[in-house]
Amino acid sequence: MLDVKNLHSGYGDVAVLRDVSFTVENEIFAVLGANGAGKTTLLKTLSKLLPVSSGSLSWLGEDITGTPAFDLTARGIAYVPQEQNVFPDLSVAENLSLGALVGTRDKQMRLDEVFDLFPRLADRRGQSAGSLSGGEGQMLAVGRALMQDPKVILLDEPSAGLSPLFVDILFEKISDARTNRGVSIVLAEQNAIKTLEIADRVLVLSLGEMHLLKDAKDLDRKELMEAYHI
Amino acid sequence: MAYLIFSLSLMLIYIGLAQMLHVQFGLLGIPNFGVVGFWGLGMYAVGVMQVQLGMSFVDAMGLTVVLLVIASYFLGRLILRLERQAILCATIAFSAIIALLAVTEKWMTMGVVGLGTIRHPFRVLGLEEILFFLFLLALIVVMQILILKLHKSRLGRLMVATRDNEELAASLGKDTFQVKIVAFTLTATIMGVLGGLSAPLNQFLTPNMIVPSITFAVWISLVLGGKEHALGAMLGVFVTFGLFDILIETYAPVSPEFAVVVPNMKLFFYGALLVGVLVFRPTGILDRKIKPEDISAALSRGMSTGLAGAGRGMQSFAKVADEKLINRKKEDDQ
Ligand SMILES: Nc1ncnc2c1ncn2[C@@H]1O[C@H](COP(=O)(O)OP(=O)(O)OP(=O)(O)O)[C@@H](O)[C@H]1O
Ligand SMILES: [Mg+2]
Repeated sequence: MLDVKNLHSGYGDVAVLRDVSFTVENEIFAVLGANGAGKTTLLKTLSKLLPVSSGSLSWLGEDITGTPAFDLTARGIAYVPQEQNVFPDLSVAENLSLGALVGTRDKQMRLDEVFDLFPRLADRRGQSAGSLSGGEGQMLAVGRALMQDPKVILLDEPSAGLSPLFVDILFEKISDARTNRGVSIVLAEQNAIKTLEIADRVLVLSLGEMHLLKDAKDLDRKELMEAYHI
Repeated sequence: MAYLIFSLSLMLIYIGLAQMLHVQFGLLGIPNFGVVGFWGLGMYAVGVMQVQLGMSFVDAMGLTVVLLVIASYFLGRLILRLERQAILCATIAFSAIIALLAVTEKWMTMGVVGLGTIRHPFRVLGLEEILFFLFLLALIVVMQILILKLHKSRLGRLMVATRDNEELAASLGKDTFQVKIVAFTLTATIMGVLGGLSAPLNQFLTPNMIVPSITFAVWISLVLGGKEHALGAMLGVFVTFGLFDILIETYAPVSPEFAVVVPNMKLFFYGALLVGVLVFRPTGILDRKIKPEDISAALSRGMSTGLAGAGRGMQSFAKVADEKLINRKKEDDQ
């Protein structure tokens, strides 16, 4: 579905990603790597918030290398940033309804589905997003992405700062979205153990380059440790 | 009376400017510090077209709108991608340029000599001012209704989202830059239209009307009233312009030697009021969370309490009066 070929990108003169190539099918595709490995840079580039320096991106057979960010939403690509991923001044319900700016399916139906998935959000629908706890905020961000009826969600470190119990709940919901709704997930994470439990395939980045790419079940710990200790 | 209508008309112009600034800054986060530039451009454009080219008010206004749309669209394209501080500087510069052009382009504007007289659009003998006031009032009411609607709409929410986090807003699927440029062009144009409407109000235009203190007054009003609230602009102008310029400046019994000082104290008064309010309510008098329904509920409750209180007062007054009357009668009888 998502085809990444020889991707290079970075911030202005600072080159971060070098020659990254992979395809994402209907799966949970994990991106692991130490701090500063380039996970966020990769997801920002895929969501077109950072320009592609060289290489190409295509989605469902169409080239999207030069497509502006806002155009990807209607094509079924949703993005949940690592930080500041909700609008703090708006209420929970308003945040979610902004997810429904694209798409044709009934808005109320989508909202009910998200509230079914995250009952905690339903209880707090009138509360301003800025006053949610970290975990509730992550749920809201994922919920808003689901409101877009996406085919793929680019999810950047949803477990950051969450208690182990919350991580379990959140990952269960992510898995749920994958199995019951058929949404593909590109999941950038630090929490390797948890991620390997739900991921189909794993890409490990190291200093902006591809260190390894294989099926999650074939990855042993030693390999993973090596990637983190370069 | 004529002066009161003039002052009230001017107040409506200020409310309109503050309403537009509310959309620009309160909703979209565009710090337009060149309010007086758009206003002045519209005012002088209408003035020049009427006086120098002999156009009718309506024709002049129509052409002015075209000019304003072009000017604000291109300015918007130029500055809306910049950082907020840069937008602030660029808009100040824009208004400074407009003020300068009014002085230097004498062939059009007559420079410091001044441009006049601009005729009233409503040529009904004796009723021009009041009709014009009613027209302005209708315009402001319509704009207020549209702003209230905008607040409830998804477009309004998208604007707030863009203001708070443009990168994240881009991932919602709408072209946020386009939202900004369309909204800026529209609101800046209306600021200019309000300037055009000020031309017949002022009748005689001089470059020293295009002063930054107008921008400051609009900003202070908006921040004071509540920049993010749909009714903040209106309330803010009521408590600054309405309270000071109309009530105090016009009606307070000020001795003549003190009268000169009063206008000069205006900005000081505004500023002191602003500091005073912001210390207690950083978001202005009307916080974003106060719903317009709450305000009308509070107003009607206040009014009914007041009426009930007045009623009770009348009652007890009547009772006391009755008793007095009865006693008097008794005394008379004895
Ligand atoms: N705005 C920026 N300008 C310049 N360099 C940046 C910028 N943002 C990130 N970088 C650099 O790019 C590299 C990759 O950062 P990135 O945020 O992609 O890492 P990450 O894998 O997401 O790390 P983490 O797990 O800590 O979130 C880092 O070396 C970082 O210093
Ligand atoms: Mg990151």
